Amino acid sequence: MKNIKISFVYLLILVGITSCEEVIELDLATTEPKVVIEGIITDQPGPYTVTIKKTADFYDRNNFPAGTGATIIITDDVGNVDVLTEIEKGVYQTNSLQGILGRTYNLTVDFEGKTYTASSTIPAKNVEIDSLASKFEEESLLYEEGYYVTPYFTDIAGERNYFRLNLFVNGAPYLRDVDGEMVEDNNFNLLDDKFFEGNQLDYEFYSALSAGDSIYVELHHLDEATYDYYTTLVEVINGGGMAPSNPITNLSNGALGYFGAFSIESDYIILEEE
Amino acid sequence: MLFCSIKPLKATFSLLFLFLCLFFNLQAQEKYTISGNLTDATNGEALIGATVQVDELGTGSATNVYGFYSITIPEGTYNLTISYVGYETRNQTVTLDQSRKIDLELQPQSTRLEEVVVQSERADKNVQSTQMSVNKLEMQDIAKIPVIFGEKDVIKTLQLLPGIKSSEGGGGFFVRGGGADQNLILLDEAPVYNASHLLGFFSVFNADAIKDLTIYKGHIPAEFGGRASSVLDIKMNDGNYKEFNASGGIGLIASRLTVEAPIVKDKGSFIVSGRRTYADVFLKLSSNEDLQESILYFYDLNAKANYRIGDKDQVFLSGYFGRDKFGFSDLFGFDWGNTTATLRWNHLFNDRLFLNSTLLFSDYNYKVEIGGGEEDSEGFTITSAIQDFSLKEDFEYYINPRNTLKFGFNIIHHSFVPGEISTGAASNVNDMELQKKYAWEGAAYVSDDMEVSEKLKLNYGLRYSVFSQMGPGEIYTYDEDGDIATAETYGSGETVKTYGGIEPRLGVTYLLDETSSLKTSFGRNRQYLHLLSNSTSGTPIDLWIPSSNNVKPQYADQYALGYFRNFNDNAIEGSVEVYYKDMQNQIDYKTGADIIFNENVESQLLFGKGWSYGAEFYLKKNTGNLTGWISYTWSKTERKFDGIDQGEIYPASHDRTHDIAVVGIYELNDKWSLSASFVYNTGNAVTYPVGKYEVDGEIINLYSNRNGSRMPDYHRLDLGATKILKKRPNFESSINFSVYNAYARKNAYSISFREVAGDPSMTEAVKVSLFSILPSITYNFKFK
Repeated sequence: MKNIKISFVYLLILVGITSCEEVIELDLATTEPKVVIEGIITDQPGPYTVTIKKTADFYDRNNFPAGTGATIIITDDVGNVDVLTEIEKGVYQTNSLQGILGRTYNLTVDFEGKTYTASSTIPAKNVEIDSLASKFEEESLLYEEGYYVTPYFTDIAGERNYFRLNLFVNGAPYLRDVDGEMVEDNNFNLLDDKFFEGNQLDYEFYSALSAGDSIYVELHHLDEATYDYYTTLVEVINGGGMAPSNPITNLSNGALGYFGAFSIESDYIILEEE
Repeated sequence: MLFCSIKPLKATFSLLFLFLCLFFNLQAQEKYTISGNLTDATNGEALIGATVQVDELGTGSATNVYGFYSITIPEGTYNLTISYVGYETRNQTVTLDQSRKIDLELQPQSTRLEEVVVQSERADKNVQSTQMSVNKLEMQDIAKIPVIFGEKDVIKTLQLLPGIKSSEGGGGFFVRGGGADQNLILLDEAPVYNASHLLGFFSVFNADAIKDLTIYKGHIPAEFGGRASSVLDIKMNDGNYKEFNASGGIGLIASRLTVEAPIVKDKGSFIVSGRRTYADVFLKLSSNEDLQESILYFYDLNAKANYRIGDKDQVFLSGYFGRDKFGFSDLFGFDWGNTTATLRWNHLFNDRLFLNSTLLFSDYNYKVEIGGGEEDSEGFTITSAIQDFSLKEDFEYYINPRNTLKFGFNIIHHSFVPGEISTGAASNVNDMELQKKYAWEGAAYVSDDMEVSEKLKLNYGLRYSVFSQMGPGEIYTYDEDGDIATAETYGSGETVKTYGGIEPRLGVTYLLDETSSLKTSFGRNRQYLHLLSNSTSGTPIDLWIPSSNNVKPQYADQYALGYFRNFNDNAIEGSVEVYYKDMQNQIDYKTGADIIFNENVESQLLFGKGWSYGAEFYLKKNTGNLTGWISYTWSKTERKFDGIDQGEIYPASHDRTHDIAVVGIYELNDKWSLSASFVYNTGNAVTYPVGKYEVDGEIINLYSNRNGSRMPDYHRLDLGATKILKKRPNFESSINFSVYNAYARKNAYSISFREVAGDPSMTEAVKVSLFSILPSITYNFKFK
């Protein structure tokens, strides 16, 4: 009985502590629309796309104006040149270029009187997924009940390496229940070898899966600039930390977004009942 | 800016000149000295800042922090008036035909509280003294001012004073625009490197163990140094010299127990004081197995012993040990804490020359255990620490009633363990160790508190400090991209880089009349240690780094001007101060800076300058049934960094235009006392998005200038009531009720931005607030 009383008092405190959320209207400053460029080259067969959009005000709808009429050229360090074709408004596609391990790619965008450039290198060695493991977890503070998948892969010794892992469940990104709403996971699963130099790495996806799910995992091997862009982008997505600023981009001339070149390895399993 | 025209160098020369004048003025005349110690008659605690007035001459002296006073005056018969706020005034006639030692005990005036009244300052000290920009808090007030969970807390209460700011749920505080790392926090003279418990909701100072608390916000006396903005000087209780005492309290989240007793009556005493929270006890009651196995508590242990050896010597040994422990079954463990130790020896060479020798130790460290830590084959442990050993020699020479000279030196050895990872046998994490760092810091100072005339008083001093970064180690320089440019190996004991410089300190007081004065001050403070933090509020894993070949020492020059006026026979004291502070070699971080476990953390930093200015208004009522104060601060704090916003000026995150605090304590009757405090402040400067865009299918906030926006205004009312339950000669008890955030204001703890639920094509801002109305209750007792 006494215990119940004490628990009750403690519960009251916890209720007091429990933070409270409220939507508020802020008087936010606005700015001139800025150019957002997003381009990716991989070691997988092309074509590759570059998109141009513009920014919007915070309280506007998420309709980002397409940047049409740009001239976009991608070259590599062995002399290949590809002038991209605008296949739909603001979306530009390569015609002949093929991403190769170890090559550096240079992007030049001429758009509305300004020129934006960036370069990125596909790391010379690819890193394969050694294996995919899964285990079942009961409901607890740390886990929702379900199957959890962990890819294993081995770091290349003697150099800094940067990775991103993407999880696809039955052909689509994982759907996460956020306050009752199903939201697609953004798959920003980033890690580097700072603490794991030369070792086998593992990364458990925080996604409760079910028996019978078909699981497809991609391992992106990134260069440092792309990794820095992703990590600082994730900081912004997570609220920006103590002094929010725009992600570190490899694009010049004040453009937002990034131009990334990386290699992709993948693996596939179907989850079996344990 | 009006004050900027005074050049520090010029001030230095003026000081030297004044200093020389002093010595020429010393006259050889037949004089005798009255000296001694003043103590509390009930428990023998030394009284700090009590005054001994020579009625015939109109001069006098105040006791130092050990309760010692000394007055040298010509032969004659004098009447002495010994007074101290909260104590019966004593008169004593002395025939001075030889030097005399007079130790006196003062009787506390009132019995209005269960606690012994240890109130400092003579009644008009704020007007009379050469010290400005200083605040003291009385422990009895701290006990009554309502605070969160009813856990009386010195640092939370400090923030109700003008010029001192912090945020809810943040452990750090900001003094006159200075950074959270620019406060020298001393516990019995030992520096405390992280003064927060439970991520900043509580401070490490158990109020039961504390005797006296003074914060210097400007004109920092020359005996202090090492931080650019302030000194928070906290003295622990000595322990009862007269009789055994046990006191304590039981609160909602913590319990306290203090035991004190004489070792030898009137010669020596000890005190041991402990506090522990017990959230984890309740976790055990939970039906959830994970919660049952979770750990969440902190504790503090303060201990002190002292002994008087003869008339001339007294030794003190004091220590603090505190730790936070946080654990989540065997998956995650995190604990952190401070240890300090102080060994002091007070020695009187003669009745005018007083020496305090101190040996100090301070350690702050944390340990994170993942997956059971290194003991577990797949786990690993991360540790980090900073450790100081130091020696201090502080002399006080009571030349004559018009001059008190202080001089001395100190030497500190710093060692830093930025980070170490130890792993279990099968862990895929590698054993790693960041290079340890070492440094020596030293300083020498001299200062004089001088009464030039009845109207004009001076406190002038010089401090010279020096700092050396030492080997062994691989020392790097970095290029513009932050990559290593050069590397050089230094052996053990080899000096890598030395910094040093003069720190002039000057305070001038001009008495306009009996009850009012004008004061001005200038001071330079150098700081050789820097705190790197990835949050504005401070966390246990914040990293202290030494100045080095890449990181220059910070320094701040502060100019202040004040008007002090007391009303109603010192019942009400008032002051207005304006200040300007210039801060050099300030630190900020590059975008995406990696300051966690990074050998090249120095390459992640940006350097720039900052400045702050403001006006502080303070009105305090000291006597009567209603006591308390009103403080208002108007201020501006700005920074300029080449690497941030292309060198544009931006407000510091702790820049707040308005800061108001109102504190009232009302003695209703013999049994009940009521209290209330109200705070209002402009929101912190923050960076809000100015737009949005899409990358990788995600909606991303677009940011513009640093700290270009404001958090919503903050205000809160706390209420408290204390009832004395029993008051007998050998047992006292009371109960304290408090209500935090009485009108349940939803103050913004953070603002975040997200997609609108149900309409992912829109985004919205969300305010998170922490504490709603929060009542608590504490029971206090005392056995004699």
